[in-house]
Amino acid sequence: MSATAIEHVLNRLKDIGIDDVFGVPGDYSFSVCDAVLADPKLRWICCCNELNAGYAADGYARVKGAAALSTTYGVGELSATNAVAGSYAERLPIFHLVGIPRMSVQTARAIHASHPWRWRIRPLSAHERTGGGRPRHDDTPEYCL
Amino acid sequence: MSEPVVVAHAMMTPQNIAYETERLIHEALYHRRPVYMAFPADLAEQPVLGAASPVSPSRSDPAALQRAAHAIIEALDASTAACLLPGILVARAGFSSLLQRLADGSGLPFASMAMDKGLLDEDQPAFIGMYDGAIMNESVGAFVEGCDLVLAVGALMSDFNTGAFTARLDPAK
Repeated sequence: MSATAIEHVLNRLKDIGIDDVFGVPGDYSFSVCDAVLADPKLRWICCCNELNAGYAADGYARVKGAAALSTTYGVGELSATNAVAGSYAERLPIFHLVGIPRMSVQTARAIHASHPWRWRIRPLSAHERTGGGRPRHDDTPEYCL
Repeated sequence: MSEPVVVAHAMMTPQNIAYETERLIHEALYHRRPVYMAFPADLAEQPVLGAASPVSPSRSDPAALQRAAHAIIEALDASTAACLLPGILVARAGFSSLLQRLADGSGLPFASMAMDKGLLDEDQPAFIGMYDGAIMNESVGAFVEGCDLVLAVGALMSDFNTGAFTARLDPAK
């Protein structure tokens, strides 16, 4: 029986010496958590929040050479961003596994909250940033997420 | 969203996952930086389609490596005072023991910058102290900056390591 997509990745992460996955479960990432829990050679290290999980993964990578971090998208991954950025600056390989909405939802852009999930960061044009000359009251980030 | 803080990313589908897994592993381990793997909820538990081999690890060009080593040795031979700055990136690459051999073989004294502390055992005569720009031990700083050759191996010249950029290291040396 062929491995599932997530099982395949986890198998390869085990090959490179990762035995534990840090993270916080969330909508859209349950398949990742379930696959880690079902694997007798991996430990799921559930953390209180994604930033903590990210810092834990950072420390793990310093000792073991690489680490895995599992979060949901949007709210989950953004909480981890500070830690992932720190790992980026300090040259640590972290595999950030992010559970994201199903393809049909992405295509329909039918996601709640201020920012539909997008794959690429797109800088707002000057016109968009100024709301066509009127002051914007919604968000200040220059980049559309 | 994560693009600025990862070296590579992919959305993993059953069709691309074998290839993308190998690509991302290679990028993460070569650059020693995070990578981002997105798993759409409806695809994560689908069977993988196809297979891929691991990406061959990068190798140095032997001739270039030879020339570089020769140039370093020549520069060392021509210097009157030289020292080693063993850097954290050596540890990231897993080569700390090789660096110890370099220290042993060359007989160079070494100083540790903040992040590099503990990379080489400080309990050896070659260790001269901590170097952090204008901060910390003045005599160590004066010695390092006064050398006519500084061999910085895998050193990350961050604010933390250079005493908020107060290190005065001449790139020509």
